[in-house]
Amino acid sequence: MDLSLSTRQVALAETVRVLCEGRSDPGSWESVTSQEPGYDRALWSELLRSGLATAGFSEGVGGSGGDLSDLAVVIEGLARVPVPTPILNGLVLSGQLLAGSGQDRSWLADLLAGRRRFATCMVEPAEEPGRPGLSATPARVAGGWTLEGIVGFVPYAASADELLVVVPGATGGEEGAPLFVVEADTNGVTMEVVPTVGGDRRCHVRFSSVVVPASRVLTPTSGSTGWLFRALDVARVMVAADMVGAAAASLDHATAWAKSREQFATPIGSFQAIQHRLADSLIDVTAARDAVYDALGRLDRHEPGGVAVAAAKAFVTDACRRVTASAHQVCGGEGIYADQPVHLWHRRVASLAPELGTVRTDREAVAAALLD
Amino acid sequence: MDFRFAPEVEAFRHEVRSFLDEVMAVDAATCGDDGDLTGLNEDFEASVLRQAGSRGFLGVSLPAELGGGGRPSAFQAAFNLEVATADAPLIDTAVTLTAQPLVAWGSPEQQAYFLPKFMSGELLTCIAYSEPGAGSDLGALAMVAEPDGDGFALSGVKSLVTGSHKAQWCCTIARTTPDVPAKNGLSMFLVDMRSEGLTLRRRRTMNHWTLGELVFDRVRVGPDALLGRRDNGWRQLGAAVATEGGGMFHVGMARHVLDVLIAYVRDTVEGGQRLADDPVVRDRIAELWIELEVAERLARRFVWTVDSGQDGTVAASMAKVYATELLQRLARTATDIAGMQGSVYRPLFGSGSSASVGDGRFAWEYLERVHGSLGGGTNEVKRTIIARAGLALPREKA
Repeated sequence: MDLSLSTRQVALAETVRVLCEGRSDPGSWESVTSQEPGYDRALWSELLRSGLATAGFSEGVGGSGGDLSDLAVVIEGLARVPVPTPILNGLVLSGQLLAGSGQDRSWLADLLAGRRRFATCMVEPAEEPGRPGLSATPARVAGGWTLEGIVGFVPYAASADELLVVVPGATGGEEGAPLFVVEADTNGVTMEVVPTVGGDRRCHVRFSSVVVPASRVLTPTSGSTGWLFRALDVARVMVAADMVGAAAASLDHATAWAKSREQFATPIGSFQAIQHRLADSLIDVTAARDAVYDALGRLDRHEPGGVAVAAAKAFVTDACRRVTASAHQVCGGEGIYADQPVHLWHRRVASLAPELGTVRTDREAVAAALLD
Repeated sequence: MDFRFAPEVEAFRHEVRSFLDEVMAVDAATCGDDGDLTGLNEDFEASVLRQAGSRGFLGVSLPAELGGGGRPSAFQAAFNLEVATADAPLIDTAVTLTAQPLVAWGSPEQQAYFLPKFMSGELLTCIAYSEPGAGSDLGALAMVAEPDGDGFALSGVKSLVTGSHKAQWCCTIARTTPDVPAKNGLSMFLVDMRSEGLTLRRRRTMNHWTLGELVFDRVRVGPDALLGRRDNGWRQLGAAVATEGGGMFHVGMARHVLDVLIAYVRDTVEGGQRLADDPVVRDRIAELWIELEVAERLARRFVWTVDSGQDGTVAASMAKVYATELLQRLARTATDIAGMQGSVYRPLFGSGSSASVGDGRFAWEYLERVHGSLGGGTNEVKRTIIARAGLALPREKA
């Protein structure tokens, strides 16, 4: 058992903190997130250039090396500030898919170097027709494929250079699981930004008879879909790590507020009602972070991750929502103003909660392992 | 981060489990005793305790220079996890209850007398700290220890004492110096339960087993009964209860109950469908399993904190609060899922009714888990500790 952060992880957290210092202004959040690209391009470039955002990808493919837990430390740090970036979908999910498919490495190299920005359009399982995000279907044509349909809620898709379209339903067949790399300005691709609570520029991406040449279709060999599930597992834990960073920062903020805010001529943090609420938040944050790094340890050791990842994401979602809501309660009326940071963490968690699965679907994954 | 026990801890854990498989093949008709918290009679408990002692399981993490196993506290934690999972009468041992203050504060003579007996399993102790008028509030302790010859005479009433009817010795606390703040006037004592003037009244709990009320009527003890320094009891007791348990016993208990619940829903058909196929049941059981993993990680975090040389007070409090409240949620959900049949009660190791399900465990749990959030420091006190020590929040104005 070793629950300490490595020297590298401590350094990464500190570097992120210093780099992002002063980069979050709650008052300008609305104007930043209401226009393209919805994040600070210069900061994103710096995160890539410095190798902070590419931790966990080996140097051989263009990353800065280290393990997945290192990347989680960076993601936690960005959520703490908090700053919006396309890291979860644009780098983690897209990069893991490109790396895992074992195909043409130049896409991955472009992504990690910041030459091309990716957005993954994940087509969810087809059991839920009628919901956006479920209807893109590929069909073979001479010299390639065509894509038809809509993929919903793709973060920062409108400013991406490349759309990575994944169709899990098409996996396992003779031809493997196709990944389609679609240039965002291809004919037939249109975007509609959806106003989600997180301000993370989620788009409904419509594909109307979009032709993808064979050279832009990655068809991993073998019918195995392990690489796809691993990419999803990694992405899910990183989503959880982001929520943990947001919750931890909101707890820190609420704690500082409770120490300085006086009512009845005493700091409100001396009241038991406040203390017990924040104590519960500390338990939640500690337990949520431990769930994330325990799951990452399994993934880093290449142990089966599915159940641990689903369990972590379900718990982290619940715990972090409790924590940011409690922070609001402690921070009182002042905390509800837009120029205060409390809502940034609260909405960040709300927006990530249903990302790549909900508490309900994650618990069902656990139940299947226990009861079937 | 790596939450796994080291391979040698896992090996030890496996050894403990094999031992428990062997000794816990209980014949309830001859060994049950619903008047005791363990559900087992004294002969059976004494036998298991001695066997555990002879295998070197008791005090595996006590310092080697005092005769203990000298292993990291992860070994003790693995032992706690397994004994609780197996319902074994090895939870409230002398090592669990009283080794910490003896190791920290005992005189060489006290350590030489008691610790070997703790580790061989030939001695049971009890801890008598609470009083009818002093539960969470140590400052309200009223028992006095007046100078008497070269020793003391103890007078007062202690309550909520687990296992006092079978313990040979008791660890207690009393006022040695009146008229000063309690912080500076309390001392700890080790008292022979056969002492003259000490009487025991067993009082039934809501779940049938008994706790003891000890009446001290000028119980005379020698100077060697003083544990630690005179008037230093407040600090010593604080340290003794700060890290009590650390949650691993509760994790083991919860693991056992969840196993029973999972077996029940898999084996039970209602309205033509397995309970295990009911989406609501699936959701709630998955939630409990996820929370059990959380509880175990918090307990492991406490172990790691201690083994890496840091103060474990906050980690122990977090683990205790979370695990005891999880046990309550587990009992509620189990009785909820099992409906009326889940309300059929059976004492631990007692005989059941054919109307019961899950071995009558769920109703027993529903009653039993009430005290987890009270004993060993209420969860309210623990939360205050977490807030003050973990978040540096200020004290409440007097």
